[in-house]
Parts: sequence; structure tokens; C-alpha cells
Amino acid sequence: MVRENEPGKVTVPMLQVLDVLLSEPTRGDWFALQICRTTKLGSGTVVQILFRLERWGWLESRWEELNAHEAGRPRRKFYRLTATGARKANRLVERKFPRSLRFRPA
Amino acid sequence: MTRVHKTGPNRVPLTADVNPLRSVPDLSALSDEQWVGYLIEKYPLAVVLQFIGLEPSYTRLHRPDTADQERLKRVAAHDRERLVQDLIGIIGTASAKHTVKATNQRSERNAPMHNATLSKAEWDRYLRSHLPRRVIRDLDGIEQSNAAVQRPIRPTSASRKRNRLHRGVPQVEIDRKNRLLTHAIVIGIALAIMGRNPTMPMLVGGFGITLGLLLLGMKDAVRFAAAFTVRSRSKTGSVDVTVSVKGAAWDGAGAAQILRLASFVLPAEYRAEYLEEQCGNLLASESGWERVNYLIDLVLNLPDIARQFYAERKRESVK
Repeated sequence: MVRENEPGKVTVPMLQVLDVLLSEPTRGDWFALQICRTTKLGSGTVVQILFRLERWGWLESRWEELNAHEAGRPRRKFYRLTATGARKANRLVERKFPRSLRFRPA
Repeated sequence: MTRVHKTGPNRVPLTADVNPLRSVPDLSALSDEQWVGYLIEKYPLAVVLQFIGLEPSYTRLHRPDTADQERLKRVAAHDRERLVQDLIGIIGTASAKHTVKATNQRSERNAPMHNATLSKAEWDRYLRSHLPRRVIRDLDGIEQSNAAVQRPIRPTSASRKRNRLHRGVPQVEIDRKNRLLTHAIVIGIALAIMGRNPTMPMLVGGFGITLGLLLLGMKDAVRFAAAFTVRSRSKTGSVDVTVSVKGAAWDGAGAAQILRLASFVLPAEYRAEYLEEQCGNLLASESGWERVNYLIDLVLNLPDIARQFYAERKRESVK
């Protein structure tokens, strides 16, 4: 995946996704459906945002370690924030939502 | 030409010149070479061999046919001397039994002159007085063999039964013009019945035909595509191989099928990975409602996702 260091387009849904990811910055098994559940965003929107963040280098992905035929379901793709991504995302969210209530996991 | 005698109820009428003995000149003065040459000129190979005395053993291996005479004529035209010598050699090297038989059957050489002028009764009497009964029987056999070769083969009752058409199905050959005319009349009547505006029936008919063709061709098209893929990946040549690939467990899921159909708008190099990821998400959903929501939103946003993928591909190709 070719990476671009500078974000080209930052939207409110993207900030929501980043906010959720920053709630557990070391977690490495975020997947699209779970982010949809947390942010209440549509799957199409979340998928586009994840794709864009990965292209910028803020996220890195890996496939779930699973034998799909034995499990009866395909592998999921897990995302985690990179160190650079976490730093930049934190700065961006702080700037855009200075006084907003940040997402906190239950 | 003298006409023939009937030799029995099952015997075949023959012309006189087929009978080797009825039209011969005085052969007693001929040498062996002249005699064999005369036989080659006049008679089929089987008959020549009969006179030489080798016919019984010869016919066990070879049934005389019309090709024999032609073959003999061709050989005789090219190398007549050699053929004559070969036949004389056969006479000389024949077994004692055959030699004796040949000598007996060469009574032809002692036949009276002008025997072609004899009546049938005189001819039969002559044969009975000069030749053994077995030789007369053989001569009758020669006549029948020649007649059988010369007449066209009639089909037997068994072959007639085999070739007989089924009576239940009448074989009517319809002329092409008549058939086209019939079709035109039927179509015209149908259009007249449907009304003056034939657009709707034609549209419905065309749609039906197209749908039928699509359904019929879809299976073959898929098979052809699979065979083409297998062949293009083969390094050894174009061998058709039937490959049964075990489908993934989630292939049958309706949501996965819909997503697979919709994802054809995506670039091919991203499609498989995208499908696997989204199918993984879909089947990890906790309820059917969540799955449906996830699927609908994915499908609705697929054009935007495709645009991103195409932009990414373009960017990569530039770099």
C-alpha cells in the first residue's frame, strides 16, 4: 500500500473513527464491523475511512490468524494505529474537538 | 453368343462365354505357356487357378471377386511373361495331389473342337462321358461363382428388415420453401390475432428468447471461463482439465453472494481482498439485522469505494 504522509481530506466521521481508535491506541484487533458498532457509522463510510487512513500510514492492517475453512467464516482484517498515526491523530482530534467529550470505552 | 442352360432351380442362368469349356478352341496343341496365357486372357483369376488345379486351397484363403479380373489384367498388361511363368511355376511346385488333379482337370485340352456349336443336351452328354462327376460339379460351381460376381448383390431378407424404416414415424421430407411459408403464415396469423400493434408481443417474445439464451449460455460461459483460466495457467499445453474446487464455507451465504455480485465494479486486483475482508465482517455480525444494515451500506457506498480504489491504482501506476 502506497502511503501518503499528509491527510488530504478530514471529515467528521473520520474524526469519530480516529477518536475510537485513540481510545485504545495499543489495541491491534480493530475491525470494520466493530468500529461501525462503536461509532454508529455506516459500513461504507467506515471502510472508506480505514482505507484512507491506511494509505496515509496512520493505520496498519493484518489478517486474522485463522483457518477459514475450518472456522467456516473468512478471516477478518485487523487494524491498529501506527505510532506516527497515533501521534498525528491525537493532535488532529485535539485541534478539531478541543472541548468535546472524547470517546471512552466502557 | 450362345445362350445358356439352366442347371437347376437355384442355379443362375449364364451366358455361354462364362463357361470356360464351351467357347475354347482346340487347346490340346498348346504348350503350357500358351495355355496359361490363354486362361489369363479369358477368365478371372479364380477360374484360372481352378484349371491349374489349385482352386480348392486357393479359395479357402481368397474369395474371387470382380477386382481379381481387373488386377489380373493390369498385371498381365505390364508383365505378362512373368505372370505366366509364375503360374507355370505354381503348377510345377504343386503337391502331387494337386498335380494329379490339375492333370485331370486339364481334360479341357482334350475337348472336341468347335464345342461351342453343341446343343445343351450334347454338351451335357459330352461332359458326363469325358469328365468325372466331381469335375462337372466343380464346373457348375465356377459358373455360379462367376454369375454371382457379375450380378449385383441383392439384399437378403435380414438386411431388408434391418433397413426397413419404422412404420410408426412417417418420413415426410418437407421442402424448405414450404416450411418457411408455413412459418410466415403462422406468424402472420398470430400478429393479426394480437392486434394491429405487434410491438408488445414482439418485445415480450424478444425478451423471452434473450432470457432463455442467457440462461442456456450462462453455464457454458462459466465452464469456458474456468477452462480458459486453467489452460492459461498451464505451462505444459492446452489440456482440458476438470477441476473441482472446494468452495469456501461462506460461499453459500446470501449476503456474500450479493456482495460478490456488487463488487464487480471494483478493480480486479483489489476485489478478492475486499471481498474476504467484508465477508469476514459480515459473518462476524451478531444479528441478521446488523448484517443487513452492514451489507446495504456497503453496497450503497460501493461506487465511492470503487472510486478510491481506482484512484489508488492510478497513483500506483504513475509511481
